[in-house]
Amino acid sequence: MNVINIIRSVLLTSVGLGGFATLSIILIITLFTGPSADGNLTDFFESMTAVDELAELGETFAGVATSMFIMIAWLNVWLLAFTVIFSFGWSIGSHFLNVDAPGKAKLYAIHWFIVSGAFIALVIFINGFILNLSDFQAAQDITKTGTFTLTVYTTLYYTLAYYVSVLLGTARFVRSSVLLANKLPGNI
Amino acid sequence: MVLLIPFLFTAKALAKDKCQPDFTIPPPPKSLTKVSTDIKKNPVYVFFDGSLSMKGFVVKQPPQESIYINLLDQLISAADDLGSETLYHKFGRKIKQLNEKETQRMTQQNGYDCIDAATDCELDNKETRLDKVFKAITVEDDATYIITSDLFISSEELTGIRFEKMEQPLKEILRKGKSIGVLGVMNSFNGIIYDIPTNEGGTITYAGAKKRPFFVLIIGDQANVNFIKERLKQDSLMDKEDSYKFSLITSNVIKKNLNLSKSITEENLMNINSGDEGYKFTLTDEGIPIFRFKVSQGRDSVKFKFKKDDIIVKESNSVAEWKWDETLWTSRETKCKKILWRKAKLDNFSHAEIKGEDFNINIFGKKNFDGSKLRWGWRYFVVSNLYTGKNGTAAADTFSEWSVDKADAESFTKKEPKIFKTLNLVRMIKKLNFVAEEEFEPTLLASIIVDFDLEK
Repeated sequence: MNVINIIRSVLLTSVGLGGFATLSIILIITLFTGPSADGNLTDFFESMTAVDELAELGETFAGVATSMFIMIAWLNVWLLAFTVIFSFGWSIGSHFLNVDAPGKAKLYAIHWFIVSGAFIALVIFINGFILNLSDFQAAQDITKTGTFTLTVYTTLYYTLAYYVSVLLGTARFVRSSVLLANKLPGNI
Repeated sequence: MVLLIPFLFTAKALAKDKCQPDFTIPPPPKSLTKVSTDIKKNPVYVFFDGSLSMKGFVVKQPPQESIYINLLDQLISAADDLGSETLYHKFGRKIKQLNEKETQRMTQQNGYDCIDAATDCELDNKETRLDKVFKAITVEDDATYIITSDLFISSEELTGIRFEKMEQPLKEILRKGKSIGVLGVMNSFNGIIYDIPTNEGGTITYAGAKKRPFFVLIIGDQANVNFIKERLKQDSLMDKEDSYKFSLITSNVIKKNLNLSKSITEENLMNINSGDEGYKFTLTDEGIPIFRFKVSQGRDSVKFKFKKDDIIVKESNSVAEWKWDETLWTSRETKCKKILWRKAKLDNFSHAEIKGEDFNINIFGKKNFDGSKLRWGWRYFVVSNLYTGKNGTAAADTFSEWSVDKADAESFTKKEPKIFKTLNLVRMIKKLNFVAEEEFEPTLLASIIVDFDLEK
C-alpha cells in the first residue's frame, strides 16, 4: 500500500465527483434561496405537485413552493453526502484489497457489487424516507408520479456520480477486474 | 306566551377573533324559533263521520270490547281540556254542528240512524265527504281539528278534482307548519260495510266483518296533536298496543333547532377526549358550538352522537335524506399570529344518519371522502350546517297491513274475512305524505363548528 497512491485516488475521485457535486451544490443553493418563479425548475416541481388537491384545500403551488424547495434541497444534501462518503470510501478502500493470487481481483467484484448495491438502496431509501415518511410537510404535496420521477432522477444522477468517481479513484490494480469485469481496455 | 326572536332571522356573520375566519351562520328556521313558555288555548273542532258504515263500531258485540265508544268519550274529554272552546260536528254528505246531546249520541247507535226517515238524512249518511271537512280545517290557523272516520275512500275520491279539493287545504295547513296525526284503531265491528268496489265497476256490501279499523285524524300544532294522542293512549288504549297504530305526517319532522335550544354540548362529541391538550369548547350566544382540538391524521372523522328522539318527531315519517351546507377553511400555519385562512373548495364531506335510537353526525365521514387529502401540520376550520333533505315515508308502511286496494277489494271480500281492511288506506296515506313532501322545505337542524390542528 502506498499513501501516494491513496492520495492519487482521492484526487481522481474528487475530479470524477467534482462536476456532479458542483451541479448538485448549485441546485441545493438555488433551492434554499428560492428559484425564479417563472423558471424551468419551478415548472418542473409544479408538475410533480398535487395542485388539484391543494386547490381543493384552498392552497396553491406558490403557497407550498418554498417548503417543497427546502425539502428537495435537503434531499440533495443527504444524497450528495452519501455519494461523497461512498465514492471516497470505495476509492480509498480499494487500496486495501489484497490481490495475492491470480483471479482474486475478480473476486472483489462481489465486494464492489455489495457496496454499490448498498449505495443505490440507500439512495432509494433516502428518497422514500424524505418524500414519504419525514416531517417535511411538503412531502404530502408531491404526487405519486412525482415521487417516482424524483427517485428515478436522483438515483440515476448520484449513481452515475458515484460510478464515474470510483471509476477514476479505484486502485489501479483492481480497477479493471473489479469495476469493469476486465473489459477496460489499455491502461486506464 | 309565544316569543318570537326577530334578530335570529338574519344570517349572522361571525368572526370572533383573528384565529377564526369570517364565517356566516344561517338563521334558524322560523317554524322552530317559537319558544313556548305556556300553552295558549285555541278552539278545537271535532268532526264525527256520521255515515252508516260507522254504525258498526258502536253496535256492541259481546264479549268483544268496543274501543270506539270509549275512545270517543275520551276524545271529547281531551278536546275539552285542550281547547278554549270545543265545537262538535257530524259529517256525511254535509257538515252539521252538534249540540251536547247530539254529540253524546255519536257514541250510540241512534247517532247514525235517521230518526224520522227523512230524505235529507237518508241521503246524508250514505256519503263521507272528507273533502268538505278538509276545506273547513283551514278556517282558523291556530285551531286543532279532530276527525273520526273509517277512511273507506273510493279510488275516485283520490283522483282528479275530488282529491284536489282535499289536497289544497292540506297543503295550506302543512305549509303553515301544522301536522296530521293519524291514529288507527282496530275495533270490533257489527254492521255493514258499504261501497266495496267490484271488478265490474259496481259496489257490494259486506256484513261478515267482526273487526275493522277506524281512524282519528288530529290536525294542528305538533304539541296539540301529541296532547290528544297521548290522552287517547293513556285513557283508551292502555294495554292495547297491538290494536292501534299511529303515524305523524308533517312537512317538518324536526323537533327543534339544536342551536336555538343550545342542545349541543361536549357530551355529544364522541371521539375526541376533552382532556386532550389544546381542547376547548365554546358555545356562542347564538348557541353555535365551537370545538377546538388537536387530532392525529389516523382519525377518519369527527363524530357526534345525539338521541334520535330529541331531534326527530316521534312516530313521524322521519327523515330520508340529510343535506349539508359546509365550508372549510385551511391554514398551513396553526398559530394565531401567523394564521392565514384560505377557503377550500371541498364541501359536502360529512355524513348524518339515524342508527337505532341514535342520531350520528360524522364530520368528514362521507363514504367517498378521501380523508388523506387533508394535510397534517395544517389547521382546519369547518362550519357545517345540517338540513333535512327529504322526509321519509314511514307513515305509509305503518298502515300497510290494514289496507286493501280497489283491485283486490272484491276478491278480499269473497274470502269472507272476519277482520276487514280499509279501502285505499295506504294510497290515502301516501297521498298525504306526497302533499307533505311537496310542502317540504329543508330545515336547519344544527350548525356545528370544528376548529382543529391535524397532526401527523
